[in-house]
Amino acid sequence: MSASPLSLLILAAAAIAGLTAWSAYFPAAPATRAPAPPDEISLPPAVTPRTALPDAMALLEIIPPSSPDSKTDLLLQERQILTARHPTRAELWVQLGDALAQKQRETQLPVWHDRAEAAYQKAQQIEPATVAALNGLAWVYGSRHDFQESVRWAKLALDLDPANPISHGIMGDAALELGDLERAAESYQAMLDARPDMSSYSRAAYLVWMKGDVKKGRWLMQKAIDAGSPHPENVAWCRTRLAMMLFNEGALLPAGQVVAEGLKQTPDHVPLLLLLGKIKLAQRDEKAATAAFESVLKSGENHDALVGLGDLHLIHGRTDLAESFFTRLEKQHRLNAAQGIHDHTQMARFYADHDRELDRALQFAQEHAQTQNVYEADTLAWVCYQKGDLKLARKAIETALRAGTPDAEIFYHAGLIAAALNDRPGAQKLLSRALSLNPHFHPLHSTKALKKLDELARTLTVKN
Amino acid sequence: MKPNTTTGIAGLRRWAGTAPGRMLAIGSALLTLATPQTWASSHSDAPLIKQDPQVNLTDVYTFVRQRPSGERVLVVEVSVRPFSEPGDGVIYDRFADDAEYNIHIANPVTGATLQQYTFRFSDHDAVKAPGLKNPNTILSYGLGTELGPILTVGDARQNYTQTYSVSRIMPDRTRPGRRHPGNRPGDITSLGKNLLVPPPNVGMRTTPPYNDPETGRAVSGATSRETLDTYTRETTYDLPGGVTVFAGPREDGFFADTPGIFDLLDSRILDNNGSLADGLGQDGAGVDGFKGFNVLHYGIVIPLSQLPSIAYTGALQPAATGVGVFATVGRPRVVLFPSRMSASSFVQVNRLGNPLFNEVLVALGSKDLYNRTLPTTDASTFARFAENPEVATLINTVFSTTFPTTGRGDLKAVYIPDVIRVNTTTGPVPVQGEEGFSRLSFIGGDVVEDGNGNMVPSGWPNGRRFGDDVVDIALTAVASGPTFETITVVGDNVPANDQVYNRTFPYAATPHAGTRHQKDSGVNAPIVIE
Repeated sequence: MSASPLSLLILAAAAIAGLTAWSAYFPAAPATRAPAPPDEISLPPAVTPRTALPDAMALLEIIPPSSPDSKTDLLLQERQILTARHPTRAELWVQLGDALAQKQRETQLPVWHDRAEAAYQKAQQIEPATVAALNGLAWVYGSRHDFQESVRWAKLALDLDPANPISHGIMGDAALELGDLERAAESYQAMLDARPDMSSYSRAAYLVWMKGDVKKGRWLMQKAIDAGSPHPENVAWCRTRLAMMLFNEGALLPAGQVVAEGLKQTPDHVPLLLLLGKIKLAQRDEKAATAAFESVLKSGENHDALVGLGDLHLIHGRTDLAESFFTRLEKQHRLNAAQGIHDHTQMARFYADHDRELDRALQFAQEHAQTQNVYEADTLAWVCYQKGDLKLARKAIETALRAGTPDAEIFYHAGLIAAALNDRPGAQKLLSRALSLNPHFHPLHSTKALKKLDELARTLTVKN
Repeated sequence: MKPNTTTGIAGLRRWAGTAPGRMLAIGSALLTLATPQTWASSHSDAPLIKQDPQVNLTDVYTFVRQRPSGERVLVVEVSVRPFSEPGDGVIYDRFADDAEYNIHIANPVTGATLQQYTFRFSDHDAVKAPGLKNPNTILSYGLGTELGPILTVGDARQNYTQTYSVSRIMPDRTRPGRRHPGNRPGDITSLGKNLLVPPPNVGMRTTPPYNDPETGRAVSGATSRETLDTYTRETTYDLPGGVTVFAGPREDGFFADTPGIFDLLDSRILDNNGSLADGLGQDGAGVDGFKGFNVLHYGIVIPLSQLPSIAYTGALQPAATGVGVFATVGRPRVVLFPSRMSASSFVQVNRLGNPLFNEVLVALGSKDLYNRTLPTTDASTFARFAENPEVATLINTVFSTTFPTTGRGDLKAVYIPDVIRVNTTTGPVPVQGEEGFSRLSFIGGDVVEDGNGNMVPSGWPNGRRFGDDVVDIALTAVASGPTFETITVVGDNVPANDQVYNRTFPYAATPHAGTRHQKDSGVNAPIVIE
């Protein structure tokens, strides 16, 4: 099934928000609030000022030289030549934007967002009713987490082409990120009905998984992989997601098989390598885990790889070594913040997982104090628990649990919060659920979950 | 779906007549109890045994553990009497007093019994039962010669107390049974007599040690002998000769969406929305058909030093060494014209080895036959059911999948002969609640090193632990074998038992309380925010 490059690119847009592979959860449970009126998603204020076109065009002038063995780079080169030759043809600017967007997916660098935006803006300037350009802009803003702008552009596209699958996909992505799973389902359904392909299957797969239907999620993700894409990176991403679903069911062997298959085709795919590290860590094959994380770091600093290696040393009590990785992580985080890369939730989670810098963690997590997004709510709850704010922790974890997302970490956090609130049976149930789901859910915390269960059992020992 | 089992007297008949260690008094009780011939197995594996719940085996669990002293042991626990109602007042469930409940240590290759441990239980008769203190009350528990909560097993407040004996029989195919202890063929050794069965979990007022004083619900999850509740601790017997035994009511440790599986593979098992064109998935949570039910349970811990070691090729284990384990139940054999006492005095009515074999793989016409026969004939009689699993055909038909339905040597390696093969060269395996345990066994990366330095599954199909999700493991095997090059995870969305298991013998959880337990799960559950 062929799809326009953009439809492939926008696959799992949220993944781009600096959240990599297995830690990328952006969806959330629908709140039990009054449904939004049709066409109205309650949106947070815009977070990104729009780039002024002249500045953006200047960026296009300085695209770095391409690498001849990258298909994406060759495509990019080709399209740059075409736009230079025919600067008044809007569709060529859209195609250039699509290539730049794919580049962003592969490098995760925000500068490519700006370049893609410039190309799409140029197309829209030439021909205001270019649906593909409107979709492109909607994608750019969505992947910067500026959902208000993203939805605005997607709606403009839908006004022109009400069944456009890409516009529906982007609308769904925004809803998913904001935790409105019902609305995401409507948009994804419209997308599936318009074009069943890798883009729509993979979105639907992730959504049903978020809502707790693991087997259907896996089946749809497999369909996405089978449907394929001209960009190997897109298929690799789907495999990462499928393997992540298996990992979350505790099925380490099949998860490893899916990752191995993916690495055969795309040996350098960072999310796959990170997940490989995580699986190997769970299997206590530390040599292989180290190799996987280190191979990621060869191409630059990476949050999950640094945390993975740090945790590996922590398990063995090598705190100094662990600390060296965490110092690098902090440094990277500062650089990211300077570059406008949005990784606060990830960082807050790291702090809470390692019981450090909790004030900063709370500051980060509270950026999402009103969130309905599962991952953000879970992080907020976890940070609040570590800080001792049980009231807020409880409220946030209830949001995180609402959809029934089959992620052991959420149940673990919920179990600890329940225990702190003296709900012993509830805590036992939640912790057991976490461990039944995936006994290896976290390199440091799965053993803590076992210990906590023991503790609860001991307090339960009836005085005979 | 569960394994099925039968107990075995037929077996005894083949070994030139070892009589059971302690012959039942063949008295009026026996003659009036002309039990229908029944054969049982897992919860509902075969038609005839379904009629005889007291001897209907539901599950066999067996795995290698270590005593606090460091001695490595084989744990074997057997559940019987499916769907025991926790609040089944007045009498509650008791072991049949005229049956023999057996655990077989078998040759893992041929299935032939090498050692048999036999449990025999005391009388129920209200008038004659030595276990009854006070026939003039309606209360079996809470009022004997004294009124109040039972403080220790068999005290004045436990009106009815069943007792049991355990013996070890060394089969002998060539010589008639000799009635003296020892380890030679034909020897019968009495290991323990007049051992007490703890009371059922009547509830907070009658049997408080079982329950949480706050909620009235059963407390489980003991990590050591010392932390077991009083009743269970008192009735876990370390017998002379090195074995440890327990027999009594327990929580049913099996969990599965059997209701859905047998409703023509209800859509909630493998499909998701009633449309069969969209692959294997499932809506919401499965329904645990065993939630809130108890079983009767008997088990033994045997030092590995007392067990044979036999080389075999197991599932995922090219070169393993260990034993096979299965369970049988026998009912008394009635002899109409005795010229002399028959060599074998029990008829095997139920047999159980691996989970799900008789229940899911053996066709209806052969299920009762399975229960009357022994593993030694499985290769000729039942191998076809494992090699050509109808369940794969059914799934393919209903869900348009293409799982291999013939030539399944992988399933044959697990099920034929139908004994649970345990590699006894490994260290102790983790149990649920301990680090490393995965309900998916090897599929979840839960492996243990054996004596040859090979990594083998910690759980089923190498032995079987409490909490091993045998339905998911079996369905995944059906879908992924025979090559396992691509493992397709299939399951029923019931990932855990409704009660936490113990991490010490008996591993089976504390029985649910008659007055406080919950049965419904999944779509049957009441809509409340828990």
